[in-house]
Amino acid sequence: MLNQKNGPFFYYKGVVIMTILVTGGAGYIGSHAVVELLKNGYEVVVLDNFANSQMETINRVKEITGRDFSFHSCDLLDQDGLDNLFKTYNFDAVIHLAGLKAVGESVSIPLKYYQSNLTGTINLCEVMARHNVKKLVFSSSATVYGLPETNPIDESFPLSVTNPYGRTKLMVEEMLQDLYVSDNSWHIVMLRYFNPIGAHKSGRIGENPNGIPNNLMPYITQVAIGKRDKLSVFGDDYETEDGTGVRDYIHITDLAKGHVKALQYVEKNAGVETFNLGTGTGYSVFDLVNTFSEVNNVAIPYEVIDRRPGDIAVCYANPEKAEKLLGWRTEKSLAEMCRDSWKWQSYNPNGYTG
Amino acid sequence: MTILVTGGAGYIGSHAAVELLENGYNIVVLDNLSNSNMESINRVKELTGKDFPFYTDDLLDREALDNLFKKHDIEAVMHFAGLKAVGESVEIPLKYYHNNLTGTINLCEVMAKYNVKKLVFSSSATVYGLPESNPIDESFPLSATNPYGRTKLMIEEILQDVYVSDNSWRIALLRYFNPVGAHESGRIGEHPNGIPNNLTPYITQVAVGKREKLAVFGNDYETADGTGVRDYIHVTDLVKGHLKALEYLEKNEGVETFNLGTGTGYSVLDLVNTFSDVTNREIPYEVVGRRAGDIGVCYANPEKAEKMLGWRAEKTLTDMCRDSWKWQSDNPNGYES
Repeated sequence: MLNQKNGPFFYYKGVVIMTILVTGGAGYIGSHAVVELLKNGYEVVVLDNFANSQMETINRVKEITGRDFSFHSCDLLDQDGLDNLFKTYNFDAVIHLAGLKAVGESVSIPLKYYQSNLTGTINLCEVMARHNVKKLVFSSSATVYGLPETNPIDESFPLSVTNPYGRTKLMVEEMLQDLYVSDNSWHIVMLRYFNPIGAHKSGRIGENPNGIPNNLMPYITQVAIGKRDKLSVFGDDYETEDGTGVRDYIHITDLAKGHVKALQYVEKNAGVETFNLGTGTGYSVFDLVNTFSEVNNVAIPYEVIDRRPGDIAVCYANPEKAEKLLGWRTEKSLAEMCRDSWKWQSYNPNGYTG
Repeated sequence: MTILVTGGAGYIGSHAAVELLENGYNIVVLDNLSNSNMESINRVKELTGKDFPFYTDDLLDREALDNLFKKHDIEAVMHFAGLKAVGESVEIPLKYYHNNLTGTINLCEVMAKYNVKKLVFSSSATVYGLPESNPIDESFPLSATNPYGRTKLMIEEILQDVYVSDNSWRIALLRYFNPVGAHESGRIGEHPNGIPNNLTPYITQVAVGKREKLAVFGNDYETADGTGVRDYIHVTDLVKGHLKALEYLEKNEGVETFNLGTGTGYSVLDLVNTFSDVTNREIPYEVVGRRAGDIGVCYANPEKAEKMLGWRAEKTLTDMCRDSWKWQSDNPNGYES
């Protein structure tokens, strides 16, 4: 077992190794974050309830990195299980990615979303405080900007939300702000993700949505592989260059690296800080479809249908704060995002279950 | 018809219990007694001459909650349970979020499981944040300035979402202004722990000799006498509003918010002077600096409740002072005497 209580310190290249708990570490973002953490010499313990993820992901992360790590199938609603985990390990920090994330589902079963995302986070923070672990990186979302009036969006924009999923993210941000006010020894970073796509360049891990994908890229890759007939483009009459919606797509590996930078930041800085994780560049639906077709040499049949209620025309980040304070910026191009998404999908036509 | 009253041993809950029993409802009371006293339950029984089941369980204990719904055929829930001290909520926010949010989420999950979908929720005028004008109606913008207020606002949002997801829910969100007073018998009333956060319990403790003098937080507000103006409402009027809300839910689906206030604002000095007149006692006071986060004026527009619930406050400031004093003087140490 790694870094157990009362065990020896671990060293890596002469420095004390930090042990990081990653909640939701078997999910899309979590698995990529774990890869980057392991590559950077951290010890990792993963907690996941597998509500929306597979054990196979864990195996593949071990295979990609050639490193072993502990894994616990536990729900954040299980306070005793959580407490035991903190008794077993000396965590230095927590990267909290666990949570339900489907907008439509959140409208249908809001209590489940509030219970999982709010109570889960409250339980986690209570147990962290009890064990004096007060460094936290939280997975928020650009959804907290609601319907932004202008672009690019910086962290000081007004916050609002339009659905229960978004409300859970905003409420957790507010709770964490209050938590810091109540106890200034917390070190908290809240990362507002724009639109993560792509996959690890090995093609071994990637996004594995259940059912009909909610997001554009998994939909495109499923069309490309023949699982779906054609792509539905929701509106081409927005006030954008080609009329389709514009988003800030960010390669998952860039996003995962942002978590490592955030962790380095919380190691040194008390406080609570929010950071956009985006490229700062917006691409339209057609940009993505065309780039995907060109890079991968596959046709993506599509059909333009009506706008989807609640969708906004344009949304992209001002990522300067993360560059300035975290020393992080994205490096991967839209072509790389398309190439890696396709590699993952074509190697794993049925995701982890194939 | 059996009503579950969560937090039924507390200040507002105990008065609601009396009112429900006197109007022929059966009740089941759940209270974890974290901030209330078993003696209030005894007194409710004594006042009404009626018995009812009481459980000292916590809303965080889902199994206990489930058992309660298994055992009793609950028709509707009045949900008062929750932590309510603004200052404390700033000190220990996680405890507030855990109790108030998770407690309510648990309650709603268990209610849905047992197909009990009528809920009267105890919200607060605190959700209006720093209102730009007065009187305040239910359509005013919402915001909160402390964790306690945020729990109330978040629960309102959660309950709105619950209704959107399942239109068979019937939910009333009652935004209380400033409840004061006590049951006219003097047998039940407000029993704050430690130094009171609110004006009336402070005044009554000065009057009874437990505290030396009242601290008045600021007399330089833009009001007639410079002191803060609030919408004080007699707790008996307040709980009558809950019964009206319950009757409303029997007939109407949906989620509706209602202000429960009198519509009249009184200043700190109005309250002090009325209290002195009614009780024939001096209330020594000292004006000190404003309290951070306090607003100058806050009073309700109660028309929506009058129109849709057929409810309005009837008791005067004099009634409020008289009944607060009767409770305090008959029970100098509250329920612990």
